[in-house]
Amino acid sequence: MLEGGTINMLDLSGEQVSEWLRSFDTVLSDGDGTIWQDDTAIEGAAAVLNALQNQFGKRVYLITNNGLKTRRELFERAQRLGFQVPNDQHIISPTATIVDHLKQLPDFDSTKHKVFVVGNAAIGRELQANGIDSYGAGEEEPLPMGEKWQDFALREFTKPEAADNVGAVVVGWDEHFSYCKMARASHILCRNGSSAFLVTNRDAVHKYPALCIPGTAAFVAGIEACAGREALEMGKPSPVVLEPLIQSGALRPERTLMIGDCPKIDIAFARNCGMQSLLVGTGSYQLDILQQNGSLPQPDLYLPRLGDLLQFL
Amino acid sequence: MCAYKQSCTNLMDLPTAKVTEWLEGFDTVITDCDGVLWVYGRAIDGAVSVINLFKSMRKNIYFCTNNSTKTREELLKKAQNMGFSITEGEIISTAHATAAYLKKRNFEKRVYVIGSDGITKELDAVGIGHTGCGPDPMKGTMAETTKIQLETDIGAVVVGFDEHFSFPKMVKASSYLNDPNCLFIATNTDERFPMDNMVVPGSGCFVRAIETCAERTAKVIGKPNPAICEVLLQKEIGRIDPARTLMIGDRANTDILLGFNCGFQTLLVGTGVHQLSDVERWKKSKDLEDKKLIPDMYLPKLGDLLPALPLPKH
Repeated sequence: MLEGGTINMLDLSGEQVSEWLRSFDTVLSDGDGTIWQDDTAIEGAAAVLNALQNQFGKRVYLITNNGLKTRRELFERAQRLGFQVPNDQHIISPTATIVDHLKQLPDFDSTKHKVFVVGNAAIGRELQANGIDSYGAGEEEPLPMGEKWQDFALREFTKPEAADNVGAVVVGWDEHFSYCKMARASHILCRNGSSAFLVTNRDAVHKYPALCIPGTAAFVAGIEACAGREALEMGKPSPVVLEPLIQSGALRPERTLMIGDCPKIDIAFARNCGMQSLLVGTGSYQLDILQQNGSLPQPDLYLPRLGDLLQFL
Repeated sequence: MCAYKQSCTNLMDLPTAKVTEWLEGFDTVITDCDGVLWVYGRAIDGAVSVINLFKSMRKNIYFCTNNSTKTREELLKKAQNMGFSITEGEIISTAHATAAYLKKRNFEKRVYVIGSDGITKELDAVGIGHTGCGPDPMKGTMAETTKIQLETDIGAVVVGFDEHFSFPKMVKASSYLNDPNCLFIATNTDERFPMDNMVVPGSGCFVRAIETCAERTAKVIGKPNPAICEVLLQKEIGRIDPARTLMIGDRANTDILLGFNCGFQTLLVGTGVHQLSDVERWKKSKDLEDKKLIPDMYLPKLGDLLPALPLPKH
């Protein structure tokens, strides 16, 4: 690991970069703000990752906290935007991590358990694609007209099927979040001590000029308060995300480089897992902001754009 | 009764003489409602008799609830229908206390409410404008949601129990709270609403959700914050002596903690949220905060006090 403060790679010589290129075998790269912004590629990013993979023999994985698309859908975006990762197993996303996690849980039996989702439809799609039955994803559950919450609770939660065989509650970003969904999730978690409780990631809020849009952390906080249990995070910076790759031997953290644009998510993730970190300035954090905020996780290396690496490759 | 302070003494284990001595040690009783006097719509056995006997012993009685879904008038009707002899002025409710808190600050803007008409009616009663309550479901797409027009005269966001809690409400609340001058008030933070054999989310869940996306902490009016009985203690200064006031509750982190915070004597009853097993845990805990949750006295139910109470004199 590189000691001392963040190094601006533009200050390095060609030789130093060549030596650095030999210090890792695997590259993990964030998505939004690092290599693309929604469906638009950031210039030079694909060229860099493809070169690292094809010329320098690195294994490349794209690792995003986007919980609104399945692994397959993210892979299709990657292909469209020119990233040459070999298959969708090279995409690590919350929906994929959720599936991988459930499959290795001793208490979860996909032949008889189903999953209650307070979240968007992509979570349901990913579960279904992997043989796991779910309900609630992308659905509304408002309080029925004319009913009071007591009527709803007494009717719904006295039914055994409200909790029987529900092996997990998964929370993701949910524009249809409601009291009824919160109550249903809490009921399941309180009835079934061994149900898994997972959340895609813990973004608190996304601030726009005129409005604030709540993040998934807000939805799960309400459920956690009632259930008296904490959800396990299935996105960066939780090290749980890297477990499948470590366990399969696909990578070794000490020989892995993590590239991202967000210190609290990407750089924290790198530190939590013992990986090298490179921060790119194509998100909200450029070097000067980083240096003014000493409390932010500081990366080993910095580049204004990932494409800036091209000159060295 | 300093002898019993935070000892969780079971009144059932004391000889009658000691119970009588304890009864003479307080002149005012502040009691929680859900889980102490009633559960949902039904009075708990013996509760009505005990409260009415306390009254005949000339003790001051106040009902103090964190339930923000009813106005004081509605709580009064419910209590009277069960047989409790109580007046509206003897009811302390968090919805009422929230409206009183804003009025005392000379609040002149409008309130964005996430809650029920228990809150909006209390705001109406003190002439404070608000955005109403009821369903506000997601209409249309996210793109349309991002075009929501916020109101410009909102000076406070109040969060209480809301069966119509929804994503659009979270968008509005967090957007209003982005202005640091906008007040952020929670009626209470009970995580669960008391319900027989069932766990359902309480106001605390909505508050935690909004605190998370607003990235701010709410000012909590309800128990255990002394603010809820501030008005009472100030109005009745000289008449109500905290050391001779008994707080009765079923939930330690609201009722008993309020008692601790105000210097009251405390009695935990086992007909609601917390049990002796919970007290055992706090006794063993090294966390000083847990010690504040240990009551002076304990009873399985309030009605168990009946045998020790003197019959009313005519």
